[in-house]
Amino acid sequence: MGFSSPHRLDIFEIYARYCDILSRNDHATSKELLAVLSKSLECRGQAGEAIYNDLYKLMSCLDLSVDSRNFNCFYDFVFFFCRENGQKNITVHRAISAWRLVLNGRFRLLNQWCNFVQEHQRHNISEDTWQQLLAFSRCVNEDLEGYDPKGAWPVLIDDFVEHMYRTSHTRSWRTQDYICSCADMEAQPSISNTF
Amino acid sequence: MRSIITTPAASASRNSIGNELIWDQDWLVGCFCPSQSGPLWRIYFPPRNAYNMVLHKYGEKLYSGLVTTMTWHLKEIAKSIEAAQGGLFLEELNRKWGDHNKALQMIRDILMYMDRTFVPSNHKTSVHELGLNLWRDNIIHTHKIQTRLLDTLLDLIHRERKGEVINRGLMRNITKMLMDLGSSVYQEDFERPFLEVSASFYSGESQQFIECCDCGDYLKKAERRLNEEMERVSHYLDAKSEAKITSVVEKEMIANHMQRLVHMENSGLVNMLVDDKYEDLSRMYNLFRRVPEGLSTIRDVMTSHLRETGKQLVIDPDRLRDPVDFVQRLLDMKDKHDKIINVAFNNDKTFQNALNSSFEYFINLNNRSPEFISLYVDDKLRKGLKGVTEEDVEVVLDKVMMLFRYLQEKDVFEKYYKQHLAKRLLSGKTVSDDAERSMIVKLKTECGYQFTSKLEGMFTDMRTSQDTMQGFYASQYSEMGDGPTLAVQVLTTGSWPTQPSAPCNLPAEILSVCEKFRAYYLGTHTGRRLTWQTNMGTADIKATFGKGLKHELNVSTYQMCVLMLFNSADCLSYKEIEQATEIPASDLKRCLQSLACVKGKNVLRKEPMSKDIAEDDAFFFNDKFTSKFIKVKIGTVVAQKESEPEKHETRQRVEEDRKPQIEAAIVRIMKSRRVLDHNSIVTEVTTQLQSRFLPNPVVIKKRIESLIEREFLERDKADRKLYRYLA
Repeated sequence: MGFSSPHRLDIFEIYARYCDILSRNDHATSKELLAVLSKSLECRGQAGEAIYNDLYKLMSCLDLSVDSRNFNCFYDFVFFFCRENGQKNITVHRAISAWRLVLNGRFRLLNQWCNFVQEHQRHNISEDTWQQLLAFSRCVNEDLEGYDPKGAWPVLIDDFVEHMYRTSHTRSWRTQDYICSCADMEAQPSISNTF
Repeated sequence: MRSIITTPAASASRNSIGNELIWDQDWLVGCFCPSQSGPLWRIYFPPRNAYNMVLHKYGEKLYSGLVTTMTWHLKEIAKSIEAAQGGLFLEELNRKWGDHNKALQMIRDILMYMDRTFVPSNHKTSVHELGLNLWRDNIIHTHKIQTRLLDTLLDLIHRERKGEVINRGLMRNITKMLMDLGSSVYQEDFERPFLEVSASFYSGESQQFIECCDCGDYLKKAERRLNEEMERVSHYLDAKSEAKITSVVEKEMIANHMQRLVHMENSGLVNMLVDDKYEDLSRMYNLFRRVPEGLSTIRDVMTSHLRETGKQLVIDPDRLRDPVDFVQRLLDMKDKHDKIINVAFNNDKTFQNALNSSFEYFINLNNRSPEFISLYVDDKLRKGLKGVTEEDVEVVLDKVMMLFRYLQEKDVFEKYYKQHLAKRLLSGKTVSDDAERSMIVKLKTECGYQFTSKLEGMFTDMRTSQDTMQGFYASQYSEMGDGPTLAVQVLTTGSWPTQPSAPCNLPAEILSVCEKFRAYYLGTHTGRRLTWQTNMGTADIKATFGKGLKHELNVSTYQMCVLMLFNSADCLSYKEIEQATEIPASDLKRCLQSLACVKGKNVLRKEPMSKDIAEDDAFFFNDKFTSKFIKVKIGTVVAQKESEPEKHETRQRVEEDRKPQIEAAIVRIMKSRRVLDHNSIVTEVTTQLQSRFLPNPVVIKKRIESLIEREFLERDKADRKLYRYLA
């Protein structure tokens, strides 16, 4: 197989192969091929921070604004690319760095999210959580409007929302004081909306 | 040519009629005059004449003559009724009505031929009905009589309601007259106004009652009024009025005041429940049942009262100190309300359900309920059932099972029950083997084989151990001498709630017997491993104190190890004891405390004297120990209830045990459904597991995530809320 060729694969090549494999319909074979590809990634011996440079390079060359499917594929690839030693999950540290890189400008709560995960998550980030965050980022706005507690979100995301509610609760008290002092009664209803 | 064909008879009659063709109204007047008897008018106007008139086509004349005469006559009667003074009015009306009916009867007889032939063929009203209609129009519906009649009737009823005695027979006749005149007459001229007046009467009266009566009295009054109205209907009103008038009373006296009644201060429903006022409650039930929302009003108040008191009970920190009392109170509360529902609420199913759901609600508010219920059983099976008949034991256990059914966390109960049963069995504290087994059977019927298999395993171990010990002593008989006697219980790992603990150092005498037993046991059962659970055993030791006083001490294994050290030393420091025995520090402290600090059981003496054990304390053999008992049982200072860290640990163990159960349920469900959305999985898992515990949705979600990670499941590519099962 070509993947095991001794020369060092560059990220463009890996990404091309990754997309190619995913476009196959046969679930079982693509899984096998992905395993092989991930083996060759290991041979490549990625060093710590270098992967973000690679990803950045790839990202700047891809046209990711065209349609979301393109970005989906890229986003999933990032997880694949960040895995170490054939592990299924990626470390919190890597996940956060990767999120900050790839979701920059695409997720309004990115900063809060990363801080939350940094602070509260001890276990590694699973692929499901990784993938669901993208869906989450697309369906909620800053006010977390659009979040459905029964929406089958991963527990980490549920916890994040609860955390945000709590902090916005305390913040809105301050806002309320401010509003009251301005005697702006019209703004009052919007406060209750944030709950 | 016009030919008239006539029969001879006909022509003969025509002749005879000739002189009588003139309608003579006198005969009719005669009918109306009761003083003249029948035969007399027959002379004036025999039926034959009427027959002849109809036969010769004078029917119309005869009929209209009847109408005119009767009308004229009735107008006269109306005058005489109107003239009747005060109370005589009804009587006059009643008498005239009687006369009119009699006359009508006669006239109908006389005019029978007309009634049969002329009336139907000319679509006229029959004589009898005509008589009633004319009575209605000329008597009842004349302005003066109509209002006077209604006022009189309503006044009489009002007076009767106020307690006067009225002439019910007369009332009966008058209302009967109205009914005879047609149900619409009865309804329009009497019933409708009657209902209206009644409504305003009861509205006023109920207002007055509710201001000055307590709930029980009010209900008594309402009940009496209701019965009076029903009695009134049966005496002198149309039976069809009953439903109408009772519904008026129900609405005015009950429905309108329902909320106020149940919530009445100091006497409302809650007070009745608290004071077991069966009669009042039963009355309330029977009255409220008659109105819409009535029973649900009672039920709602009862439910919220139950929930509130139940909640107070289970979260009261004072109650938590005594688990047995806690459960006893729950049982008493259940008994009390069962009886109320049985006696006062007609054993209503919906009330029973409300009671059950309330208990389920508040019992689970306290997450120690499973532990406490198990402790209650423990207490009963240890001592509480001594001298109690077998049936009574069953009753107690059945009641406990009823509480058990309310528990959401049955698996927690199982955990505790196992712990408590183990302690009972190992310390030989069970009072009745039958009662123990009966309880297990009940749990088994309730929760299935799996739930109790380990508990049953414990009983089996106990039996097997007995046999093993017999075998052991039979084989060792010759070598035993007078060394210590050993009783070993071999516990199957997994069936018993054993905590892995390193065995302490046993005294040499004991150790040698233990080794013998080990050799014997492993000789008969190859491939097994024995670990001594020194934290669970007991020992009986003989001790001689100063002045040669001999006592037999019943102690735990740990205590025995400590005491045996004093065979070779008079004074030992805490450190020395700890080193020699290797008993875990917390256990050692408790055990020394019970040996040295409990009055009457202080076989050791501690320096310095204090309640607690410190690491630099010194212990002496207490030469001056005395006790009036030969056998002294030295308990270990243990909390019967679990301490906080223990509780936490049990909780964690329960949570850990639940994980695989939840996962297994998810996999079972997904295996058969292949694809399912998140919320359906949560619902199905909950239903599958609720006989054992109520799984937390967040925990279920975590298990799903874990299964996704381990590739048992995957999320659907298109719909992220759907999961697929990966074979």
